[in-house]
Amino acid sequence: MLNVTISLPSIYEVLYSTSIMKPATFRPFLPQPAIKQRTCISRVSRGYAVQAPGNPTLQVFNRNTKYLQKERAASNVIRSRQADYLKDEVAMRLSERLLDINRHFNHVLDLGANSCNIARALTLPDPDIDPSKTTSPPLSARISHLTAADSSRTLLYRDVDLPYNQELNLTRQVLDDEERLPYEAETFDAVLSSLSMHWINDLPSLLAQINHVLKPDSPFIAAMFGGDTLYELRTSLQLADQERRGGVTTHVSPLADVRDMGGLLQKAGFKMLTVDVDDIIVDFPDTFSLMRDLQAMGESNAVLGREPGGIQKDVLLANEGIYRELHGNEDGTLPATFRMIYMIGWKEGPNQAKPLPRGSGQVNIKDILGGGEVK
Amino acid sequence: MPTRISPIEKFAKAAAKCSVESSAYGKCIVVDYNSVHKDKCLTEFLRLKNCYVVRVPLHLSLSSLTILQAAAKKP
Repeated sequence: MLNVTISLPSIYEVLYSTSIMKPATFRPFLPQPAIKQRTCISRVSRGYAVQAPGNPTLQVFNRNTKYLQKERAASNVIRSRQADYLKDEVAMRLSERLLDINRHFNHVLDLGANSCNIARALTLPDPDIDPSKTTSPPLSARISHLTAADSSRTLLYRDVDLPYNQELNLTRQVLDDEERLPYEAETFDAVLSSLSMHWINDLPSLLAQINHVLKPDSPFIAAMFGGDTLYELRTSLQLADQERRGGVTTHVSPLADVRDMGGLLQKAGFKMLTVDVDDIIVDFPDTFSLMRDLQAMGESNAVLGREPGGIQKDVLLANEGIYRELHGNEDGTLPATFRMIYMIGWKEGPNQAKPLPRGSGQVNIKDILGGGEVK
Repeated sequence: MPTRISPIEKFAKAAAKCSVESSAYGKCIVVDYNSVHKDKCLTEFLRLKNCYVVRVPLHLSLSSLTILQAAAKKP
């Protein structure tokens, strides 16, 4: 058997000796350049605002305020459950999208789980509206293990005693920060997220992290508030602020747009993207009940630059009249629009279906649909 | 013991009783909402607030009343 050992000091010695030994130089024999001294074009030193590696992130939301709001909302269990109608509905619509993927998932992550609305939606019986099948098993039968992660402990454990917890293998995990995922690469077979990503400051980074923790060829399915959500409240509060106080302040969060989401998903490395929108319009008796419900959902304003101490009474009073005049329904109720952006992106994997190259189509779609005139 | 009514509920109840004034104020704003400036509809708002102050429970109304009086004193 050969035993080869390389002693490290000998390498160092070699390196050291070559650096000391001056090699023969040809420079004295070369023609001298015309300009001897190199002129420095600019001697102004530039100071950078951020020297940390990576892009500086713009902070929009106060994460700690959001945490406190969620904790507070969840501590009133009855009110919190009453105001869960929107999150339950969206979780149901979101998990219906799993029906399109004919697969069994070993380990699924529900990121920003709120009160585990997705887990409850997955255990609902008969999600399939296929008339040929009399009953189909709940979607939870396709999932071996679901991890529900959220930063608010009270909200996450609110419904821990309800019977649906026994119907699937559910683990709750409290995250320190939803913007930093504590998981190893390629851990999950799918990542779901329902109505929590609109409070994330650094969305590009979170999407890249989600892509990182997914196994190859696995889907990321999410729903978040976007674009025109609560535009009625936004506009009427702006008008009320303008008239009462002579200026505007932020009462409704800035939200991502549908077009932004496509770009962000692509940038994060997701393939085969699907992004669509869905409006849910809820009618409220007055603006106060709308705002109380938002508070009970834990969706109060958490923008960093907001005014401390809430909205002034004068503005609230003015807002009620303006909202009703500007947006009110004929029957006296006030509509509030919630615009959901649903997105599906797949992590790149081998043997994954890919879109055909541009211009490779052989059949004119006009021949199939006929005509070409838009009716 | 009656269940506790939150201040915002009292506020909402009092505001609901002033729907006529509230609607008049809303109309004044909405008629030209592209050029809203401070105190554009001050008379309508004071009418609304006057109505609200009368209907709201006393401990809530005190602060509003002083503001209203201060506003009335202004030329």
